[in-house]
Amino acid sequence: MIHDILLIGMTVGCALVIYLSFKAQGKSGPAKYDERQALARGKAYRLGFYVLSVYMLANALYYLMTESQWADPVVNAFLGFYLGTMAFVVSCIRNDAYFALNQHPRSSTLLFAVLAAMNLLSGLMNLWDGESIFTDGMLNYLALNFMMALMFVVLLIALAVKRAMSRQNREADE
Amino acid sequence: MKNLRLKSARAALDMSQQALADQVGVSRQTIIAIEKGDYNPSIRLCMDICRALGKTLNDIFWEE
Repeated sequence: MIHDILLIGMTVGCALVIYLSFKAQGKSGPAKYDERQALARGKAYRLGFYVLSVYMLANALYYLMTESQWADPVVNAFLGFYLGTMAFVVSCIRNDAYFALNQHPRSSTLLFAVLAAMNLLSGLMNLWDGESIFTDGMLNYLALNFMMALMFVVLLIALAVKRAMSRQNREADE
Repeated sequence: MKNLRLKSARAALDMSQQALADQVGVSRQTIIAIEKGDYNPSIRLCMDICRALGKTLNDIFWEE
């Protein structure tokens, strides 16, 4: 029953992301990045790949050394995805390469905030229902909501810091 | 190395970084990076910038 709900939630989440991606594309066409942004995004993809690789190696080493797992396979897989994605997005934000020329930061920022809040609320509701994020000493899939909320909070902080720095440098640059 | 010739050519036309970026089709941060010397633009982008400022490649990008 719980797995069915999880599958439904994941399916709805993926469908929503795909729908929003196509909807955003329809309004202003495909994302347009200039050459500097494309270069920065390429470097960010590489960083994301390295972060994911290091995480997977660290995971494997932990298992080899302790012969135990610290989290169930679903959490293990998704955490690697979250870390790689965070590395990519933060690097892009830092190099002004996350938002395309024809994109508005406001809608993405709002989406991040909504997704952070939804995931945090979902996680808290599970805890309120008496569920635990640990099973036999291992993190279980119920921890994913908190991890996802944390990821979006980190991205929001990165956006806020970048925005503050850009404002500070604006007059100096001109 | 900073590109002060680009900055002065832009200032001579009283053009903001954003205005130049819009005309050339890049982000404002790209123009900033070029002026600061943090990014080496492609020949195509160099030519687009020269065209927007009414200057030649020698005037703005070639080393003296």
